[in-house]
Amino acid sequence: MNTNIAINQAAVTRAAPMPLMTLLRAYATEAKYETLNALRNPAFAVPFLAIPVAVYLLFGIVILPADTEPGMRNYLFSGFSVLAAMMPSIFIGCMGIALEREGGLLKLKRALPMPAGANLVAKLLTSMIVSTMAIVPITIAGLTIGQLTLSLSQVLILELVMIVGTIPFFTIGFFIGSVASGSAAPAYGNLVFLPMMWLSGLFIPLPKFLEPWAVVWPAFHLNQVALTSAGVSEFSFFPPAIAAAVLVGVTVLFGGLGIWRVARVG
Amino acid sequence: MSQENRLHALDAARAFALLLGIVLHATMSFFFFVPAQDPSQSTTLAVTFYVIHVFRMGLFFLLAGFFAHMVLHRRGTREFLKGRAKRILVPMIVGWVLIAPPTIYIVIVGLTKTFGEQAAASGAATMPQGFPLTHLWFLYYLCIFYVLALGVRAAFVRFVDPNGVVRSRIDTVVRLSLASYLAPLVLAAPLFAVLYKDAAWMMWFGLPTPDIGFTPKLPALAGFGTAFVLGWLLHRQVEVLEVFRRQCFVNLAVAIGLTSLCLSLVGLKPNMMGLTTLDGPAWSRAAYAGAYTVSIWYWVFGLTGAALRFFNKPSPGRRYIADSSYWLYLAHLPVVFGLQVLLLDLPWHWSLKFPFIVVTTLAILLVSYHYLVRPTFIGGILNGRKYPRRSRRTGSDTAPAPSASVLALHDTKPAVLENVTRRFGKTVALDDVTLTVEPGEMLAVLGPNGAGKSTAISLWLGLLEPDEGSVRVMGASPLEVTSRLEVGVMMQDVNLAPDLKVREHIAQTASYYAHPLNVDEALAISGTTPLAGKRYGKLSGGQKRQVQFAVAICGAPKLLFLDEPTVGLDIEAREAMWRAIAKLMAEGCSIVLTTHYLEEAEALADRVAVLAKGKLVATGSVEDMRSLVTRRRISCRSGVDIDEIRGWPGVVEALRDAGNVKVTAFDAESIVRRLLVADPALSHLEVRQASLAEAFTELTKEAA
Repeated sequence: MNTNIAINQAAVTRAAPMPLMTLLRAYATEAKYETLNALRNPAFAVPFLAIPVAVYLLFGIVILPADTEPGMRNYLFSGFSVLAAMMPSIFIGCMGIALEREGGLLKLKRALPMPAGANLVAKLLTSMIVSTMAIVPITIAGLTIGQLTLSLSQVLILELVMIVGTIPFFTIGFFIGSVASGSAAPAYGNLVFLPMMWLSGLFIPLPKFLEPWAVVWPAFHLNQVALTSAGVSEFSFFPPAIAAAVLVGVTVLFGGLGIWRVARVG
Repeated sequence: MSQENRLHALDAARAFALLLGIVLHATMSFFFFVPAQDPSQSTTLAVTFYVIHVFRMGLFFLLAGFFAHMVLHRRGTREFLKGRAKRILVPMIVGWVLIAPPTIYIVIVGLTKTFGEQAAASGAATMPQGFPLTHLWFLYYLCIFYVLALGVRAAFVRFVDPNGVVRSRIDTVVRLSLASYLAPLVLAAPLFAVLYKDAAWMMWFGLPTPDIGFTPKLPALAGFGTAFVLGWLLHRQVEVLEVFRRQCFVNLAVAIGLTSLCLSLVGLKPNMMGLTTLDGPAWSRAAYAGAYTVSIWYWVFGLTGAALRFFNKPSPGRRYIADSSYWLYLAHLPVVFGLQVLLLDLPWHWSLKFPFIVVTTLAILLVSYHYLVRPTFIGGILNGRKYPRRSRRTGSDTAPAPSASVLALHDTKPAVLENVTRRFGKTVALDDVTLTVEPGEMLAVLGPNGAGKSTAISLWLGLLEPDEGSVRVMGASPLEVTSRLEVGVMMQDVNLAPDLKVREHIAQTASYYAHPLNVDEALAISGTTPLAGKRYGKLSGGQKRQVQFAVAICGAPKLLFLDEPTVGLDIEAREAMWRAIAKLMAEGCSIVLTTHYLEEAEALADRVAVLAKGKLVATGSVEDMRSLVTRRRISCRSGVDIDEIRGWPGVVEALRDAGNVKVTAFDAESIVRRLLVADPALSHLEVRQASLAEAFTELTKEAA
């Protein structure tokens, strides 16, 4: 008996913990291929890249009367940047994970020794990259023909906040994807995205009775944080510290729920 | 409905009554000045308060009476008193010490903010004086009712009604009057009399909350006492509750009608200038008092019925809420009032503040319940039991720890299921299954659909956790990522990312492993080199399976799970995969294979395990399996009467198919001999051993 055990022990060595380099490589590889897969599918990526800049050009520049206040131009620029930041992140978050769940890929990845966070981090990076790609054309348009009164550094700070600010929206999408099926996920995503776009007061004035309700939408808070960080005090309606706390709270809440759900149910 | 299900429903109703209290108190600053008057006032919330206040405590005391009688009869007087002391008396006294002072402080701060210091102080002086019971008054009145109930009951049983005649008459009266829909008219009478005659009755606020002073208040005794007594009597004949279930919608409709009438008489918001008077004709006071007190009972009956109708199934979520509701209610008041006072200066609309207060309060209290109450002695006191703090992953951890020697033995096996049971709802997917994979062997797991194969594999892969028993992979729990570093997997029905190339898929998965094959090696072994540059989405079904195989082996695993690997492959590709599998085994890789192709198991497997209906039916070598079934098949062309053959000893089955006779038998030789004697013209004789497929069918049929 004992000799048997000794012999067999040679055959099965107890698995060692994952070395740090392997871990980092796994994260990096996962992120690389996740992004590659997303960008290779133009039908998936193009709407997110094209729509925000197109609507900015139309509603934020072309159809504005010549005597529009410069402050309003700045505000619209910021509002459409929020749109460019949140649209890809919500939909990449929900579509990516929902399709993986539906296709059994998430289950396979859970069974493989993929480091626990690699998939999520990869998707987050993908969403930030795509969001950045959506924000850049708006930034260029704003700086060249947008007649903004913001300085270059103000614009860059604003857009940098937008890019970091994609995270809460990604977690919202991720949570939706963790509960919805692949075909239902975009519908649910729109159910969140569309009201949020209109009701956050990003680019249209809200009716009086809806104004107090703008604070329930994370997009409103991202806009406030970005404007304040860039030093545009004219449109600060809300304490920026609380707005930032709301965004962190949204990230923790939905990220936590999504991770909990994916880890349990797959 | 079973007794247990009734209790689930009533427990839910009690939790509902308690949790509504949080909503009720959260409305107060939006139409009233306690704990503070919010700048944003709301008629909607005033009506919400009004409606909840009509029935909430009546419902609670009815259920309290019911449960009191139940505990008394299940446990006896001594245990009843002990339990009540622990669950009611102790929380009441501790609550007065710990919860009441901050609540009162917050109210003083709120009143000062609303009226200014002087007005608040002079206002406080005119308030009724006495010990502030705060919202814990209901515990005080419960104690009173318990004492009275025990006393009255003892007197009744001993002196008035020793042989139970009067009690059974009372039961009949209760039963008949409840069935008539008219019981509320009678039950409302005591409270009606008390309130109607009370000139100081503040009508909008209904039954006055007795939260100040130890002297029992008459309206509370009349209203809640009646409810408690009725609840007590209801438990004497629980089947009467069925009436509530049936009448639920009618009762609720009447309740809503009466409450609407009351609101139309008294106004949607309290009229602070004339709380004790009513505009309108003289009879309106009587009408209001009547409608109000009667509506209490229709609400209580309707809601009890709704609970019996809709919440009569056990549910873990509801169970948790019901368990937590007592703590939530005891602790909520300082939190709710605190938030109301805090939000006073914010310029938010009430429709924002109110949900914020309710949600924040629930979040804070549920977190505190989960971590500070449920697993500690506090939970023991409040709920009568303490829930163990669950380890993050239960299942394999909760099984009794195996002795050290057993552990050492198992650590040498690549994959072990030990006495594993796993259920899905009421279905037992695996029933006490023990299954081991030896180093370097291939175990084929066979069984019809639904036999438990996938469940077994999922347990090994860490996708599921066992209900009982333990699961080990490479000597560790499969839930740890490190135990999977030497494991490869090929699953059924997996769609890999369609826009990545085959080479990229392999590189991606290989990156998870510490010592993977390089990509070209993996391509070569799996025979996918020609596909390397193609996108996965463009491949055929069979090619996709090959790529999934490549992905499974690219980490150079020591343990490989293959779930139906060759489904959809052509013969050439299948044989190529078999060769690759054989090569891996030769290198010492252990393999678990599930398959429908029995020849696959016969060609590759060292050992076969047959599952049927969640049970391990047989395990052994392919040869063992076959010999387990000693039956043989005889076929021939003959005219012998089939019924005659069926009568011969050893014959399991005999069939005639056109001119052919097919016989399944244990003792083939003697059957053949008899056949030849019976029919000298017999031809085309063939005798063969049952194949693995037949053995397998037999085995699983027996299990079924």
